[in-house]
Amino acid sequence: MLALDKIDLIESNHNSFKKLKKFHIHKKDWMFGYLSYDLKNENTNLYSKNIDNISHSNLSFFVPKYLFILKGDNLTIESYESKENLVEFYKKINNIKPVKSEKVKYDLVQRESKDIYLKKINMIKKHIQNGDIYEMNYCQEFFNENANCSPQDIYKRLNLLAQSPFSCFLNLRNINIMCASPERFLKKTGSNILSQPIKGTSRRSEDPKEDIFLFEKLSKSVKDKTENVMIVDLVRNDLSMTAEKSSVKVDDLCSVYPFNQVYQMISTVSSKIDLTKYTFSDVLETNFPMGSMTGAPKHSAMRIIEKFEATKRGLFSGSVGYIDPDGDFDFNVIIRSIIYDSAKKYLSVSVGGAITNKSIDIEEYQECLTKATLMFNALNFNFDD
Amino acid sequence: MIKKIKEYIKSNNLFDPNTKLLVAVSGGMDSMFLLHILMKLDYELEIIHCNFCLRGSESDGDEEFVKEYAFNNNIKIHTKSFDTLEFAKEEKISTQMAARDLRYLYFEEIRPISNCDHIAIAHNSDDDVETFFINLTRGTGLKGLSGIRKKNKKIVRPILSIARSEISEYVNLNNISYREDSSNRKSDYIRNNFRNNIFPLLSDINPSFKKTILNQIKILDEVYQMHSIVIDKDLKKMKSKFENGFRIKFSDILLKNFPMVYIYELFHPYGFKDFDSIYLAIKVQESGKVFVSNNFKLLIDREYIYLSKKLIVKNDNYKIEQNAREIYKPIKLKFFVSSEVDFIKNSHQAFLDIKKITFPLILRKWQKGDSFYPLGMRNKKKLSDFFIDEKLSIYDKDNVWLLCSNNDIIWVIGYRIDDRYKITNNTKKMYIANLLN
Repeated sequence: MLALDKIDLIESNHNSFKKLKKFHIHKKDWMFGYLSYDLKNENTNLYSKNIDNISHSNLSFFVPKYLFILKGDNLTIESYESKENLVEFYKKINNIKPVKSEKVKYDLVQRESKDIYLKKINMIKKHIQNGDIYEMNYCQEFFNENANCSPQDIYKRLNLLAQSPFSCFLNLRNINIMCASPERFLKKTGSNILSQPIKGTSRRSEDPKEDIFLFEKLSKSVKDKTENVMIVDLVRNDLSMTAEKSSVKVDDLCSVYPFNQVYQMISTVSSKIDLTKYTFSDVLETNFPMGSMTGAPKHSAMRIIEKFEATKRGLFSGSVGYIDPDGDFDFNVIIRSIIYDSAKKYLSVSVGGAITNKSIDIEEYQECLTKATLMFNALNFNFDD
Repeated sequence: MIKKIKEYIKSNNLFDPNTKLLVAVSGGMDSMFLLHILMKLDYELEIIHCNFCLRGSESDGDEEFVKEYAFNNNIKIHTKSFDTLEFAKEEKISTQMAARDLRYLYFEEIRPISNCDHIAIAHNSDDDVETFFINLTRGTGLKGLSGIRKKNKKIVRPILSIARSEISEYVNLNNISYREDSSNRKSDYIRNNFRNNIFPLLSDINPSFKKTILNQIKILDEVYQMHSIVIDKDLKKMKSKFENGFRIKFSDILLKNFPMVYIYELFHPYGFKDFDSIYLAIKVQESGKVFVSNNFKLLIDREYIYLSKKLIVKNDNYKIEQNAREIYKPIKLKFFVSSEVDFIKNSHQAFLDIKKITFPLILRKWQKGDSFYPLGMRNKKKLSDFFIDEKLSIYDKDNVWLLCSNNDIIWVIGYRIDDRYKITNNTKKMYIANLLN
């Protein structure tokens, strides 16, 4: 799916979900955009005072001028333009010769040292032992504060390497999201709601034997299953807030799926939205931010995340997606992503993992690097640990 | 050589030709060379000489030598003798540091009186290289690696670009007399270790390593200058005066892309070392957490980090005579003698065997190195370890008083008596000390 150019735009930092709903009722059109993690601050006593190098809104969506939908071999183009103009436009596009992409190479700085990361993990575990939380997603950032990027080239490389089901490229004003996410946040089709949280990551191996071993190791990992189940439980709770009675179901629990770079443990939870009381934006609002990126209990985890993490998350661990004219939607989780603010020339890669009482500091650190390898490779960056 | 130095002075804008100079002369080769050159260049000058009294009669010999030279050449001379060892002990610094501090203090004392514009010091390029390595191993950060300053306020170093070998050659050729072994640098163990043991190894790897290092210093100096311009401006903005130190808002540090640089630059000058822990304490707002260095302390409180000078506890000793029944200063204590031997376990009371005690008793604060035999223990224990076991905070520790007899601690008041002074089956008379609030 490709949405090009905008005929309308919403940007919001207060009451954003309500405004989004109004905007959709008013436009009854396709909308593409993002939800930032810090939407959480709008209706709670949460805040973020951490360093923030990327200028963005809490939420922003645009109505595209041209929409390309490719299903199998069938390409549909939707637009308000006249047919003649559209044919002309299509011809023009076909005549564009792809520019040979430049050699991409960018350096990144680790915001916090390994020593500090390890110390923090153990401090977070104290919170778990004190009973403040039982799982928390802790992320660290790698950045370059003066990068001249071609986001398209970077995305091309990233997508080629990852080929993830929820990859996307978004350019909205100064914001560029180059995303190779394997994770769906939430999908709505009619009254059906689907959530597919990921918890549990393993590296893959080029040696087939070892690769199978790693697959089975992850399938049987108690630690990863624990992480995953805790989040499934949280998602069930979130979905139940807008669901018809007893419609929340776990369709698939802790299955391991292969991706180009990693194995992931994924669960599927579904529900039927009670359309007599709720709309699409209510489902988004009650589920956001996704539990797989916060931990549980959600509110307490988010408070402690703010205390420990160095960077304001903003777009990272937010979501990119679209809403169709009927109010159906599909949203991913912004992970395995490179985010670039073209105005500030700031390039950012964040990675993290769920910390539970079973976490071992150095293993968590390694897991971060396993996840980061994809983005580092896309940027041709060699991280010297 | 004279031309070269003249050019160096001019091109680096060290001082004008008609400047009056106070020349620091130890009597060693470098300073006699410097003196010789400056005289040849017709500068108006006076001599300043410090006698650090570190090598007995040799030090006095140096002084005599310099005095005589000054007399023969009709130059005014200022000299002073220092008790360097005592000063080092008092300030808790190394002899080298003490000598350096005393020297610069004395220079600044004399310079205005002598009407001199600058103080000329005979550091050479070998000194520069040595200092680089010493600082590298000491861990002084970028600043310590950016070389000795050619000019720093009133101090100027006209022969900083000249190598020791060049000086030696010139001095021999021109028959300049100097005192062998005069410089107190000879007693600088670390410097000599580099010079004699490590530099030969580096020469094996790179025969012109000194030149290479001097080039590196030049580059590092530029990086340091650049870094300072940015950092110093920020640091000034961050710090706000507070009591006898300053305070900084956490967010001012945390909202920087490289907070560790700021933490280092802010607290390294005050002797702090564990920058990771300071960062973490700020990040997770560990209110109440305290860090201490030799002379300073850092306190984390709410949104600020406070730096202040450590309070120096006055070490007053209070005598307590045998007939004393109570005292009110510095703390309230009452004393009894009882022949009825009985006691209750109570941290506010000490029950002691009077026969073992020697009067007068001394009441004092604790010092580093204090130790005693805590009641119930056979072995001696350092007081500092005892405090750790008792989980005393820094403030608690400073408030602890000790009751002592004949140099033994007999009671850590409010905590534990000494095992050797406890009452036993053989005790006939008890001495009871009572702490009142």
